[in-house]
Amino acid sequence: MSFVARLKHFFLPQESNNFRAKIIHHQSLSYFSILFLVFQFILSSTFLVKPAVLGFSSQIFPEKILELTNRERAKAGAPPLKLNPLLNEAAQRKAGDMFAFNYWAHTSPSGRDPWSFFKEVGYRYLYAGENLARDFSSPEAVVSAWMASPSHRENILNPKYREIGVSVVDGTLGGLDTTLVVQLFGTPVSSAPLGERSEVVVPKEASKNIPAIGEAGESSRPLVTLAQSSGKEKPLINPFFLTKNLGITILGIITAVVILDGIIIFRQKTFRLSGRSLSHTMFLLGVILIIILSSPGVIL
Amino acid sequence: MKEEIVHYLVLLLILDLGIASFFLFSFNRYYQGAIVITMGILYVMWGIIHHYFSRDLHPKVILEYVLISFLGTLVILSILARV
Repeated sequence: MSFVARLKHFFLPQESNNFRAKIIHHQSLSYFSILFLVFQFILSSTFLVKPAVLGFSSQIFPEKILELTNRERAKAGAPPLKLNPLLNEAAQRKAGDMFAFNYWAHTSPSGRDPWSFFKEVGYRYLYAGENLARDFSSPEAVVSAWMASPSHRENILNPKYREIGVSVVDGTLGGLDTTLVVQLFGTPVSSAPLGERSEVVVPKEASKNIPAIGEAGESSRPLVTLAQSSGKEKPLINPFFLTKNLGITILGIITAVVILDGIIIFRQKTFRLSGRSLSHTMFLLGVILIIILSSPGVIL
Repeated sequence: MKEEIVHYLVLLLILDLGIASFFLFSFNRYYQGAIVITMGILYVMWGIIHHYFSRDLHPKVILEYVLISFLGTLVILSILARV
């Protein structure tokens, strides 16, 4: 079979492929699934053997996070937040702690809650909250994701908060290059009416040991060296985008062949026992749309 | 013909709801995974019902819907796993 004939056999319905493009035969569809699974396995194995090869880089600046947060607050009629250097430092330390002790949570595996960082830098709060995000490529995407989550949104729009600290830090988490965004909210004790009690909020189930008003204290934990996000693209192989691109390529080819196959069969008025090309096209386009609009970021 | 249009409108509704729910629950990838699996199952069910009413339901046809649905669901779940 010549090269052109072979191409036609794979992409167009004709007698040689029983009037159905070979690429959308049951066998080929199974091969595509197996190929995709093998690719995922190789990607995961690479991650285990050479974790430094895989990672994520972003262009997020803390000032932009503050600006977008205040924009959302303005829309909701909440007062704007002021950047507090102590909260910035606490957010920086929290990010460093997550990298140093390799966790992604509001409370560390050893039980250290977010409020201990407030205490560590000497920020005495009446109200406090924390939002976390990782692996987003832009500040707009981070704030949009937080606003889409009811509990994070509540933190952003809470009119009780007066100050904010934001840190964006690059590091390695679980062997993967990652950009963490830590957003800490606070209302200092000095700005509170007498008699009010302290309150803390984290978007998911909060720490069970809610502390009293934070106080400065010395920590016996190791100091963590932090790398502030440079905001520059780095040449990394990103498993998310690799998976996304391969998925779009495979499904794109299949969709194109299904459409072509459907048009030819319709025009030739060929009868065959098979699924509907129109329904396959609709489903596959829906899946491709989801894949295209998916972003790698996670919030907590 | 009218029946066919109704079938495709139902499919469009299933897909629209699936895609909208997927992004509505973008803050929780486990919900997103469940939505994608449900969308895949509903697509296979739609295929079975559609071909049953069109009187051309055959195991080969069902297998085709299962394979298309599995591949689509597998790709989205793999992406969610990489998030």
